[in-house]
Amino acid sequence: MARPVPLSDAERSQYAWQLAVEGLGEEGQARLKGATVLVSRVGGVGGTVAMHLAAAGVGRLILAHAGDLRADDLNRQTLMSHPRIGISRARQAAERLQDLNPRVEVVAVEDNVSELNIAMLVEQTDVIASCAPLFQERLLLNRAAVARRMPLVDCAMFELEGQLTTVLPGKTACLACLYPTEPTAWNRRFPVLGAVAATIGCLGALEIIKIISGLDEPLDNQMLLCDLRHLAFRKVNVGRDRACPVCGEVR
Amino acid sequence: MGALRKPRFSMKIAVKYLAQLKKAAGMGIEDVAVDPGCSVANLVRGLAANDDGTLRPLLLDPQGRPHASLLIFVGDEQVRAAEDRFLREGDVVTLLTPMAGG
Ligand SMILES: [Zn+2]
Repeated sequence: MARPVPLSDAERSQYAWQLAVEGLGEEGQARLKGATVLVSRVGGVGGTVAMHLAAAGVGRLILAHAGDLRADDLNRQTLMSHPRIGISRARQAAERLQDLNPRVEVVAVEDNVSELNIAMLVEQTDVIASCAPLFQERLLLNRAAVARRMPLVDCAMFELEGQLTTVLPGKTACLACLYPTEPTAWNRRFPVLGAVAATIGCLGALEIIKIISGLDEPLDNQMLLCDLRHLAFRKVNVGRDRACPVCGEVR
Repeated sequence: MGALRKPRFSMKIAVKYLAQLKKAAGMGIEDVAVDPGCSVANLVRGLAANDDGTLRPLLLDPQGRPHASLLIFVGDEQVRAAEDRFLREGDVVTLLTPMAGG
C-alpha cells in the first residue's frame, strides 16, 4: 500500500468532519492522500465509487471508461450532465471530480480496461474498484489484482439487487474462485435504477476507504447481498477454491 | 417438482432465487420436496428438469452439469456443486448467478 502523505492545514480543514471519525484520524487521512485507486468504468456504480473517494481525499484516481455520454446513461451516471451528451464520459467524470475536490489528482483514461492497457493502469495503483458491466473485464482486473497482490473491490448490481465482495489476494476468495468461467446469459443491458447503482457504489467506496486507511476491517471471505426491493442486507460466507487457476497458488 | 418429489420419504427445503434467477423463476423463494440424500448438485439438476426452459440455461452448462459460475449457498455458507454436499430437512438454499453492472 502507498505511503501516507502528511496533510496540509487546508486539507485538515477540508476533511475536518471526517477526521473525527473513529479509526480514521489524521493518520488514516494521510494514507488516503498517499493512495491511488483505479476505477474501472465511471458509470452508475463506478462513478459513485469515484465521487466518494474524491470527496474523502484519496490522493489519486485513475478513471478508465471508453465512449461518449448517451442520453440513456443519465438515469444512473450522475457525474455526467445532460448538455454534454456526446462528450467523453471519462473526461466529464474527471472534470466533475476535480471541481468537487481540486486537492486530489484525477486521471481520465478514455478507454476501457483491456489486455492492452492493464499493465500500465495497475502499475501505480494501490486498490482496484471493479465496476464494469462485462465479466471479461472484471476477470481481467481480478487476474491483475492477484498477480500484484493488490486488493480489489467488486461492485455489481441487477435490477434492485446488488452484491459486493472484496478480494484480498492470498487471503480471500478471488473472483475466479467464485465464477471460474464467465456466467452465461448476462446481457450487456440489464434493468437497474440509479439509486441502486449509487447504493452499491457508496458501499464499494466505503470498503476501499477501509482498506486504505485501516479505518476498519473490509469484508473477509464474505459477499454482501443487498435486496433493495425489500431493504434486506445479508452477508454470506464464500471461500477460496484451492484449485482456482488464478489464486490457487497464492499464499 | 415431479422428478424431485418422493412423497413418502421426502424432506422439505426452501430454494431462494436471486437476481437473474429470480426473474427467470418468476419468484423469489419456493418450497421444494427432495429425497433424503439429495445432493446440492442433484437439487440444481432437478430444478432445471422441472422448469419450462427459462431457468435451465442459467443453472446448467451444455453438458448438463451445474454451471461453474452458479453461486450456491446452504444457509449462509457457500457450497460448490462438485462438493457433493447433502441436503437436510429445513435447509435454505440460495442460488445466485453473478452480477456485473456498471
Ligand atoms: Zn481464486
